[in-house]
Amino acid sequence: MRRFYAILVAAGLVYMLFMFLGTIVPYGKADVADRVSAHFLAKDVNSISPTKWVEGDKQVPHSERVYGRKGFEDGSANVVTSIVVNYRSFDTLGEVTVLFASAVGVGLILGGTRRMKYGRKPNFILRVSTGILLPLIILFGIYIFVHGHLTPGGGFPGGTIIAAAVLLLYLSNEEFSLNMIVSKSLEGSMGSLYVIFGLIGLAAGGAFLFNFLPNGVVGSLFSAGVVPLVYMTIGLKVGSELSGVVAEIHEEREG
Amino acid sequence: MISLLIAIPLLLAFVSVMWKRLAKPLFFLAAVTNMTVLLASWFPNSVEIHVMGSWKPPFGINLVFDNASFYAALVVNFFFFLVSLMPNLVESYGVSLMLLMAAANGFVLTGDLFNSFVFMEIMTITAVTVASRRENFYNAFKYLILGGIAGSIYLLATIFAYTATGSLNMAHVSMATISASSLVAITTLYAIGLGVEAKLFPLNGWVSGVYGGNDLAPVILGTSVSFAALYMVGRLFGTVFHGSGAGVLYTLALITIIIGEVAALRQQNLLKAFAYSSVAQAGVVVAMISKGTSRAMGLAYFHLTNDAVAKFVIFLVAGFLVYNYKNLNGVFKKHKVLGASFSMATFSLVGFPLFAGFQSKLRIIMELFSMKDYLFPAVMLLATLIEVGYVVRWNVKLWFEEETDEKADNPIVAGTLALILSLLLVAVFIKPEIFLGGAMKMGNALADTKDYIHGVLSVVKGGM
Repeated sequence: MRRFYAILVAAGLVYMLFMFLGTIVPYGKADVADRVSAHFLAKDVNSISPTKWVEGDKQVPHSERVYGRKGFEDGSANVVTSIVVNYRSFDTLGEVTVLFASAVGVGLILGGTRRMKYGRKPNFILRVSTGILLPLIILFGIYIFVHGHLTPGGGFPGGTIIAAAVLLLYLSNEEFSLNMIVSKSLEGSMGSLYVIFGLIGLAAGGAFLFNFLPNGVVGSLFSAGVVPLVYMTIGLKVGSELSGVVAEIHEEREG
Repeated sequence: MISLLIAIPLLLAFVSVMWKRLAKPLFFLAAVTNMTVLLASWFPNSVEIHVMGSWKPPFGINLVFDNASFYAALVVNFFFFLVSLMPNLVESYGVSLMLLMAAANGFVLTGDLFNSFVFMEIMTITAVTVASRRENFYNAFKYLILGGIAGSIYLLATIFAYTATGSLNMAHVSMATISASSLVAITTLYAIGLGVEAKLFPLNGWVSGVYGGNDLAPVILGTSVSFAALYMVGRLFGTVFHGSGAGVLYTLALITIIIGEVAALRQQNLLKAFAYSSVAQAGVVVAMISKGTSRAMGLAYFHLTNDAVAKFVIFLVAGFLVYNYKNLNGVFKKHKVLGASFSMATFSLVGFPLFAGFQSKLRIIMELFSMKDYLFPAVMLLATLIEVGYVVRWNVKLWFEEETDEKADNPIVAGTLALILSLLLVAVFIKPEIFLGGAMKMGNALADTKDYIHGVLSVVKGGM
């Protein structure tokens, strides 16, 4: 009977969602100029009058935004980054916290203290290739988050790649276990640093998470103000956090 | 200033992950700082905003600080402050509680739909962590699944709102013209998304397991987090969607009241019985919010404040009893102070004269009669009858039955807090203005969409 109700509820939910799909504008028919994101793409939020905009005076962006010039309100070449870490940076702080909260929960629930042993001996190829791959993976991860404001990528994927390197170490070596003190302090200090960047913005520009550094030339490594710094802290934080989760999964409680 | 309410607990949570031992004092520090910030900006009486990163609304994210969000934040932080006074309750959950505090504050203060989803996600995950205390893993897992699905549906609602209006800002969405079919989709999805945290009928299966599984979860989830979630119900259905979808909420809330009370009556476990009662009270609040007028909403939050204070006392005492005694018969003969506060809080829950619950229930019923609604008062009176049944039964069992020779030390801090709060309930009966004034201001602020839109969107100076 319980299963019957479950099927009924699920069917109702699917039917409802299916009906709601009809209210979405078909692909290619939406007028992007109506959306706030049009002005994120055009980097001209500051020149738009919000009161006129909400009253229906849609100001279609027209001026050019050329790679390699300077003086824009947002300096990232990667437009996703400009939304994620500049226009809507507060959401990203929230998402960083979501991951942090989950990692804290995993730590509290698993709570292992001793490295689990599976009794397998890694063979020659695995051992040697780990040694070759490991620095490359870490370097790639760092590249991904350092260039987050220029190319696709950023703190979250970069950090995940670094954690993959730690996972590789765990799979290839029974003796290896992560130094939890180092990973926890890195995680905590990088998380606090993001909030501190926000507070510096509050002190310098009067708004939390204000971009208090000059934007520079679009496309150069040192540009986009505070964005690369934030992405570096996110990358290190996500990397150490997910490494910590990997380590906790490979640990067991005593006795 | 307002952004500090979120930034400080968040910063201290990140710091305390490096020094585990500092988590408890830092949680206390965060709670004290937040209370200080709030008391320093007592009832703003206008709509103030804080613009994140200096991007003006509707383009950037903004926090909204008006009478409604102030009152909600005050209640939310007050209960966190009370919990932080009891270090034995916090134990190793200090980091999670700080994150929960930051998220609940963010959820209350934000003026952005997607941002509220992000905070709801943090709230769900930390609440699940708190719920897993004392190896209550199965129920926490159930909560995680339900909360996860509700979160996705909340996100889906936000996506629908964005496709319909092109904006995520609540003030802008509330003034945009949305087609009827989109509005049905958006409000239904939001009702489902908030339904889990607001404990609405088909989605409240997790409540008894989570509240009944340990002593920390009901104290914080049943008070602060419930208040934050029910505030959002008022904000979305009152301010942003001007009462669309209220009919569905009203029907679900009435069913919630009946089912919650009947389940509470049948329940043999002390914590679970009052968990179901908290479901029923959430139903009363949602039904009242769905009425949509400023007075009805104000009374809803007045009732919710009374209920939260009473529930805090009840769950605090019940949690102490359940985890210190195997047999609860006559246990209050050994703990007279706890017993007196528990009885006062339960009588307030029923709406017995001399206690705060009477003031809010009476006012709600009078207000409903003046609106010519006779169904809801009937349901409420029936619910009160059932409440009398189980409240008297539990009080008789805990005061007068044959006691056993088990003995636990009197918890001094918890006892004092329980006594102070239950005396506060008496004080509210004598002078309802203590809660009623703030709750009415909150109701007015929630119902006044025009003022909200004006306050958020006319601030062109952008928080500089």
